[in-house]
Amino acid sequence: MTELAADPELVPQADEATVLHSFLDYYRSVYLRKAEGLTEPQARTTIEPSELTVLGLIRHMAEVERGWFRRRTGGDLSAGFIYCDDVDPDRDFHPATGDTLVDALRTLVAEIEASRAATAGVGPDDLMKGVPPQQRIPGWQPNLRWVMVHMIEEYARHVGHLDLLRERIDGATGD
Amino acid sequence: MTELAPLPTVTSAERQTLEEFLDYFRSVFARKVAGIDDTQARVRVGASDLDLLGLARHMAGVERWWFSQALDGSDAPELWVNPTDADDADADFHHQPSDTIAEATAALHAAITESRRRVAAHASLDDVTAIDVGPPDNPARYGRRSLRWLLVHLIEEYARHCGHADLLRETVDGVTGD
Repeated sequence: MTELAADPELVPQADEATVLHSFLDYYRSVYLRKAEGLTEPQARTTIEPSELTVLGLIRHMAEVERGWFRRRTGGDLSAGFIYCDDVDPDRDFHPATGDTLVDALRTLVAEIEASRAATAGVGPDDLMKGVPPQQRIPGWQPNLRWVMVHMIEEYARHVGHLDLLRERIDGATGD
Repeated sequence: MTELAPLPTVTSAERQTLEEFLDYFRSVFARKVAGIDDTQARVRVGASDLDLLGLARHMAGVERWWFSQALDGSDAPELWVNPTDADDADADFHHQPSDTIAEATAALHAAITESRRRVAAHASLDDVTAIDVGPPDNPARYGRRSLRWLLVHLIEEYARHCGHADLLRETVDGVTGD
């Protein structure tokens, strides 16, 4: 079982970087915990009419982690899309029949580790590298601060989706 | 229709970035609970007892708690009281048949206006809450929170509840997105 990361309440007066990393790591751990212990059919459960599933959401955040941190922050141009391609830019949300939650979770954990390595030593004011093809708007280069806050809210919003999916699947709630 | 706030700017300093993200998610949330009637506001999904009316009441109370009562030590009363249980800490979610989404969203918008006024009066993100904030049985456990911490917390709390509201609203009338 993934341990819940240290509660951000433990750093109530810390500096900017500490607070942002604390909230992000906390939500990463909540996110992984929401998916643990599910069977493959459970991971494909929906709340209609929404098409969101636990499996799709886990795949999505691995793609997002890689794009923002390993590629744009770390500048690792060898890190292309994991699931998505030109034919289906949302293939992270569209797993094939044989794709599994086990593989998706392993991939997300690996990308989170790569993200931590990419952000080590980078300051909040540092700008993202404008690496093709993920810089869709020429010259659009957020700083790391924007990326960190964006990742916190993106994880949190998708945790909201996972909250309702997981509760429907087996009644589990909370962090 | 409630206007969507501008997207947060991408190369700004800390305070501007945090305030822009918070205002953006306030506007996303306000749009999720706008344009629905009192029956739609009570729709639930899956096994959860969350609904849009409860969420709107909750966020109005969250605004008042963090920015009026905690940050500034205001003695503003609780927004929501359960008429059958005055000690109910979840009176926001435990609404009554006569409660309306119109009343809840009006309270939310008023609370947001009050929060903005109070935050603007603080010159530094290092300013701390006027009171210790911790669990009811140990209020001093975590001590005082900085305004920086409060803003990040409110961003993630709004975002998580926007995730709940996403699935509720899509079930109500098919509306998705921000």
